[in-house]
Amino acid sequence: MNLYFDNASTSFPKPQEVGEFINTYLNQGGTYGRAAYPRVFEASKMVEETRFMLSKYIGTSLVDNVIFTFNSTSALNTLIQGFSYKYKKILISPLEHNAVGRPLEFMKVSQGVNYQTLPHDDDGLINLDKLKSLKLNDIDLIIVNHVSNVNGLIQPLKDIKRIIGEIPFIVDASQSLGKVPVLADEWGIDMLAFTGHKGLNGPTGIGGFFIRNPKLVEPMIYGGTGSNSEKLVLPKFCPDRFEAGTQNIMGIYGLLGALKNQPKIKYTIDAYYLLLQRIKELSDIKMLISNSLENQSDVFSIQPNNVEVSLFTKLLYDIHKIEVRGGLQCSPLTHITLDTFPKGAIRFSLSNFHTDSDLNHLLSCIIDIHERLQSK
Amino acid sequence: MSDYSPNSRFIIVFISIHDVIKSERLIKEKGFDYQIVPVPSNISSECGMCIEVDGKSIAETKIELENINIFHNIYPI
Repeated sequence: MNLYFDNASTSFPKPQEVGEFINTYLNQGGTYGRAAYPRVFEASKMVEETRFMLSKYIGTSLVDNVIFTFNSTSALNTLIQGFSYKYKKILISPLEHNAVGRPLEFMKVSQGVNYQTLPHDDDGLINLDKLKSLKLNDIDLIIVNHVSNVNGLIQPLKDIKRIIGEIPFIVDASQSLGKVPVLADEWGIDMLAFTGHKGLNGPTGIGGFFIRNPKLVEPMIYGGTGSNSEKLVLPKFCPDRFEAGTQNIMGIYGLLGALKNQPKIKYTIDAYYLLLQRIKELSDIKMLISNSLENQSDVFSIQPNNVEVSLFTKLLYDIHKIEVRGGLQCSPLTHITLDTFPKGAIRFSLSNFHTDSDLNHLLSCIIDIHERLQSK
Repeated sequence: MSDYSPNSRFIIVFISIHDVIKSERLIKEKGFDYQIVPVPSNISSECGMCIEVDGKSIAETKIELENINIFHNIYPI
């Protein structure tokens, strides 16, 4: 029985090849560029193969413009803080993580950058009709979390980009890449941040971003790239422009092991929808999901009435060994939108390794804890 | 293309490792004779890698690289 339901924090288990690839690297060594001996060439080739495979997941033909970072947060900070603002006005989705909220708040205080929330429905879905009627002529940047890490809502990126036109569009794909289709070129996404250790099932410490027009953003890290070394300025071309310093090559190897061995989904969509329906029927529990199942990913949360989130979470583990995350999930803005702030919620997030039997077991555990607490 | 003597060897220098790896794959697929070598210091102070190709393959290699818009410079050695 797979009792781990915290895959939105980090996926577990990983495909076994993740460890095997990391082990290969540890035994083989080598860095990216900087020399020409075979050990370096082999490591460089693996890095570029990973970049190429990621470009397929992102849906772009601009392979050079896929950049490695340590995680989504470092990617989003680079994109948000390095962007050249003219009007200092940003619009964001109502379901943003602190990886977006905190850099924006920092820039609000330090640089007077103003950010506001896009029009939305009560589940956080961006309201396209209202968006169409907004005046956007002085908006520098629009940022949207593709999949919420709290209620799992999937935003309609293609429709949003069609409405906002030429305004640069950053997508936070931390929860979506590897789980929900992304077509950056077809949808016109300008920038996209991702991490390797969630939906892509790789190790922690490796993530990145895609940037269509690198001139829009100044790099955050300056240093050696193994290219143009005679000059004290960073090269302007990608990926070197944004990859100063030795990258996490061990993490890249692990990610490549994951990308080449992505697990096929084992549970059925019917079993998942049944799980959601049964929890919804429980009394005194607020369900945090999208209003339409069409927009629902494999992440959802619950907020029990009159019971502490931490107590419910603790009992789930103490009695049933179910591992989940209770609290604000680093997303106060989302919880404000969903009217679950500051209490937060208990989040459940699936992996492709879960089976129908795992989902049925989870339901019985939630019902059991709910009944125990109700009877107190 | 007559500048490229079939009995000479040439090195192709790129702006990034990304382009070296991409080009190596292409040259390998074509079955050309090549090797990965350090960039000669009389050409660049760079510490990275470049690709050495023989004179029989260099003209076709150049066309292939241009077809996929990979910026490069060719030097006889």
